[in-house]
Amino acid sequence: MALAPAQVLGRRRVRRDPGATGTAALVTGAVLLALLLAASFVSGALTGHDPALTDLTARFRPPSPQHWFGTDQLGRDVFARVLVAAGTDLPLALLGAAVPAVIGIVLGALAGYARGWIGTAVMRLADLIQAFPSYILLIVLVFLLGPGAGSFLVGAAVGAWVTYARLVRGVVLRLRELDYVRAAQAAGLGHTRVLLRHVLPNALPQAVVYAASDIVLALSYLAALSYLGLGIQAPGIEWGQMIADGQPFLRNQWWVSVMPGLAIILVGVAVRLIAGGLERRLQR
Amino acid sequence: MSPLLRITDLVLETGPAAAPVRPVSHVGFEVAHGEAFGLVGESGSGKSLTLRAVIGLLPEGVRQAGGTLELERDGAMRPYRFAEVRGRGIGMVFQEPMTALNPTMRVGDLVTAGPRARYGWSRRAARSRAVDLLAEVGMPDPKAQARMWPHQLSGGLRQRVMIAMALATEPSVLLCDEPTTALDVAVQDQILRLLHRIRTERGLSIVFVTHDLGVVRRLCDRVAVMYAGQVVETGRVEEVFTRPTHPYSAGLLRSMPTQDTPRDRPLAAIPGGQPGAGDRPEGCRFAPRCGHALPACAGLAHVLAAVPGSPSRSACIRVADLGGPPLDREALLSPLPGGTA
Repeated sequence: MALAPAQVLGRRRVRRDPGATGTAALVTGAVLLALLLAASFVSGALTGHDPALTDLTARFRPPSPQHWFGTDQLGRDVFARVLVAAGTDLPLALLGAAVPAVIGIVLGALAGYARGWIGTAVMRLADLIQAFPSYILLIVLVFLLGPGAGSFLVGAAVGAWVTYARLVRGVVLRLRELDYVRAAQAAGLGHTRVLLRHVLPNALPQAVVYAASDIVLALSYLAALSYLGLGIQAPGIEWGQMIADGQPFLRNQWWVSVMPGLAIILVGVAVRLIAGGLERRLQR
Repeated sequence: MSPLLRITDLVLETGPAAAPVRPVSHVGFEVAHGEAFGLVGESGSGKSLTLRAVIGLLPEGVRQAGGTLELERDGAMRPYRFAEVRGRGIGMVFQEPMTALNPTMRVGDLVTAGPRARYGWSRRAARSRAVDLLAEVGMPDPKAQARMWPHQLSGGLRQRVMIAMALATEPSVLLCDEPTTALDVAVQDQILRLLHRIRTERGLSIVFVTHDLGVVRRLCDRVAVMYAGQVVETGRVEEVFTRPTHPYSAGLLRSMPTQDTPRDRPLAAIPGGQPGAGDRPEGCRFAPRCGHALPACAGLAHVLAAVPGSPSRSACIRVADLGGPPLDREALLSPLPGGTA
């Protein structure tokens, strides 16, 4: 048995290889998001401009060393506004992905483990919600609830939990027949503990990867709502709202809309890196 | 020896309630204190289902349609509810050590998960108990092993962890579902010795399901031979192995090769195959394959009756006419020496 530790180390080294590229992507994506978020707090110092300060003598200045991203129709610095908006968009996008993920995972795990009428009720509810196009459902809900961050979160959660529930239910249905779940039951553990300690941890990786890529979806939901005037209201600053404000001037003053659009793309790339990295790290 | 576990008339059903199929019909057996009991049969004979029914962990779609399950408590046999015996009176060891350990928990935490939840042990107490248990099942360097993840262990070590997990709940009966089938022969031998030692040291009863007659011979005191969902013969291992009282057990034993079996001659085989749960014949289910069958066998009710001149019980009406010299299995299959591991 003197060989055992060496064997273990050897096996680990082999395993680390595919994980390494995953780690690099994960770190790159996370650093990008962290930098963007940090910049949103110090945007004034970073750009030398107040994102809310209007200056009608400096309307529609193109990108220049003074105004990296130019100025908008009220003479406000677009770079400063793009950075400040990150402080609104990123947390809401993260929450907008996390809230439905948690709800979906809990309901899906219950449906898969308990089955019976609970399972049926959850899955029929999922069918019902999936019958609506997701954007229509979101817009109608937010319209009924009134614009704002809270309505966005509720709207996103109502529509998006379904995918997680289906995903996790499928995995749990398979896991619950496995011997280690039976062994936990044979050891006298209650259903709650079996579900939380022995089933759910093995079902989570797939849901987590999915949630990471859902951040972009949540961001696009938020931007779309703000574009329609149902999202973040002025004086709050948000990328979708900025895109909508700049749209009439797109032909000649493209930077007003395009710069916040680029910010959304940057977040998309960062999130994709995180999701891909997670996927590679979690795959067995 | 006083009984500890008694299964009576166990019936398991599957399929629609209107037209159910019975993979197990009217199976009964009794296990005494400190006894190792073997449940032997081919794949599909219902032995594993029977074992799982004892602790109420039947697979999806199989239900118990009849029978009583009793465990001795305070000197009397009492029917039990599964919640009462799981993690208390009855422990279980599963066949596949690769899939029977939760990959997201460290070995030490896994071993004591049951009693920790039940008795509210502190993490610290549970850890030290886990190390003791791992030492008891012969894990080398149990302290270090307790911090390992299941995927870092070999099949044999995982099976030891499974056994430690079952022992953590201090059961009086250990249900073993082919715990050595997935292991290679050398490791199989170690696990058998381990089970034998634990049983001796703890005075534990063992119900051992296997298709391997050699394993039964080595570990068990008594055995029940299952065929097509029924027990066809039961008795003391040395009796059943030397003087089988059912043509099926006799056939099984004759088909086992020994060191003296000539290499150029094909092994003895029972013609035909075991009928599936859906198409079992009326009367004696073995009759269509049996060389001793009479017309009466096709209308026979299944009864395990005492055999004149033998301590075994058999379902065969032709016991007296089976004849043949006693089989000599002693030479090949010596039982485990007591207390070694």
